[in-house]
Amino acid sequence: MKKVDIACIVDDDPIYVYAIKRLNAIAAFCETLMVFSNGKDAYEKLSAIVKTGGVPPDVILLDINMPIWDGWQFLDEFTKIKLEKPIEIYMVSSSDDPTDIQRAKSYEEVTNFVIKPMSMEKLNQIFAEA
Amino acid sequence: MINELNSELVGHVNENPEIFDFIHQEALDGLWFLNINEPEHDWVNDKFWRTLGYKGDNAPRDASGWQDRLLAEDLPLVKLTFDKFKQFSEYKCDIVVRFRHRVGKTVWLRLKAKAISNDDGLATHILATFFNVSTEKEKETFLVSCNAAANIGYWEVNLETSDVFWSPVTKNIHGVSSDYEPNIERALDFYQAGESRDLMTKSVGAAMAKGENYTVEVILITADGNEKWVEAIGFAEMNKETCVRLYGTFQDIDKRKRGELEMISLLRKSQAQNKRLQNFKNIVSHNLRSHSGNMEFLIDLLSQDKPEVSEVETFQLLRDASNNLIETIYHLNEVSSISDADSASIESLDLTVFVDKAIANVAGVATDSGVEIMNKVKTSRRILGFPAYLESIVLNFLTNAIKYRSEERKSYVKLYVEENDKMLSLCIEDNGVGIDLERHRDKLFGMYKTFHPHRDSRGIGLFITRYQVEAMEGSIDVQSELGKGTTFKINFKYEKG
Repeated sequence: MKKVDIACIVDDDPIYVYAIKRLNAIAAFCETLMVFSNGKDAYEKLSAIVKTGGVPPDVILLDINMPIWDGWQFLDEFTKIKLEKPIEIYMVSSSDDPTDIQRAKSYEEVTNFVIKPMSMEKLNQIFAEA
Repeated sequence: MINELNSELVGHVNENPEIFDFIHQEALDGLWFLNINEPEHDWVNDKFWRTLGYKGDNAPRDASGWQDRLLAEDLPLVKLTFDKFKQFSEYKCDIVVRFRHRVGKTVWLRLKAKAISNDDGLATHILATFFNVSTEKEKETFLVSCNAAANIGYWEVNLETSDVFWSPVTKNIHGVSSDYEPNIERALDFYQAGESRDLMTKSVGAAMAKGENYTVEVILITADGNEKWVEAIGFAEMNKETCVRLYGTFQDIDKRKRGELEMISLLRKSQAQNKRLQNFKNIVSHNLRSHSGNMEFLIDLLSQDKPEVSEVETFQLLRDASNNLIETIYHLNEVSSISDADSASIESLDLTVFVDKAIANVAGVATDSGVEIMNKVKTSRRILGFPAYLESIVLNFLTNAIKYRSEERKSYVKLYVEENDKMLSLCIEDNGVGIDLERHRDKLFGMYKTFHPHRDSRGIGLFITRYQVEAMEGSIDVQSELGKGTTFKINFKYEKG
């Protein structure tokens, strides 16, 4: 699996976040892992990085259902930012509701929709493509 | 010219008895002449008896024959007429009386009479003519009894005289007594203020102005203050551009209307409830999957992180339990999603196309499992159903037939069609392991009922399939023998014509 420099997880589920961290420790799919627990936090911090000329993540695993700002609200704002290098954004959710999948498709910045539970294979796939 | 003819006729009548006879036998339904002081001395013409069903010889000839035939209730009215003539010889009599026909039925006769007076101006004789109005009266009686039976009341307004008539049933519907006298001004007050009164006012207005008939459902407030739904029908009789008469009916539809309104309210409630249930299901399903997904993830992680834990029996059981949980949630989701089909989208489908598609779908698995698929499905009829369901139904039976093949013989699955004038049946026959129907027939289509120790038999498949077939108004029959094979017969409705 190709290693990615910076991966970013935007998810409010601490168990899920812990599991991803542990998997990364084992499989090492990225050098650095950024974690945000809601959409607003993620937007503020990531847009600050871009503005100050810092290095944004290569991959974002974006959850849909989060407090304060959900995944859609994050996307609506984040996609307004002009990026030097495109970021692979994967929408991740337990929802298999076709309307959510359709909605994800409507954003051209979203690479794919991943249905939880996350697994080793799914992560392999994501980071192989990154 | 005309007066000359009149005089000529009078002359003929005077001179020629045949002319007089012709007039009273043919023009009237009866003629009666009597002496006012000796009413038993009277004469009635033949026509009168013929009107009552007697011919020639068998007419009662005695003096009071007519009295016997008169209905007892009307006798006082006739006697009253005689008295009136005695008092006032110029009296004009116009009444309707009832006689009994020879065969027993009632004959309604309109009686018009005038008195013949002496020089002192006192009535000495009465000449009466009869006119048979039975047909009209019978129709009227029939109409009245029909309306009473259907609880339909009649009403009429004469716009020239401002007279208002309400039939007894109409009065009943309004909750007023039988001696209530309706009038135009108060009539609209009976309607519930607001929508009902506005609608009535508008309808009556349109009838009077443009001759537009109306049929409306409105709320009446009866005399004792109760609300009652009625159907009010009105007709306008126009004379050129002016309305001269309004008439129509009222029908008490209270029970029916309230039933209707309650049904609508129940329907709305159940729709709202369905929506809430749907929401609830979505939330629960999502959350359950989140948590069970996490558990699976963590268990996986643990076995990767610390591979030695896979040897621990408790861990293995924990993993099994987690898998079971995930599978159960998946099934729950499947089952609760199947009732989302819209019944308005029933289509006419080509069965052969769906069968071909399903066979193509399992071709790989069939070959790998050594099962021969024989497709003998041929029909020009189109079945009625939902395309999504039909796909899943055929596929499910096919995969089952392959899954439950016998290892002891060369396996096949044969698909063919049987038709009768009501249903089209798709038969899927295999020579697999068979099912013990005596033991399991009732549970065959239940949830989570499996009959064979098979790694893959989840037991949910036929439950959903049966639901889908029944949603398409079809049915499933099964024949099977343990160790020999099974034939499923799926009966579908097909397009007529």
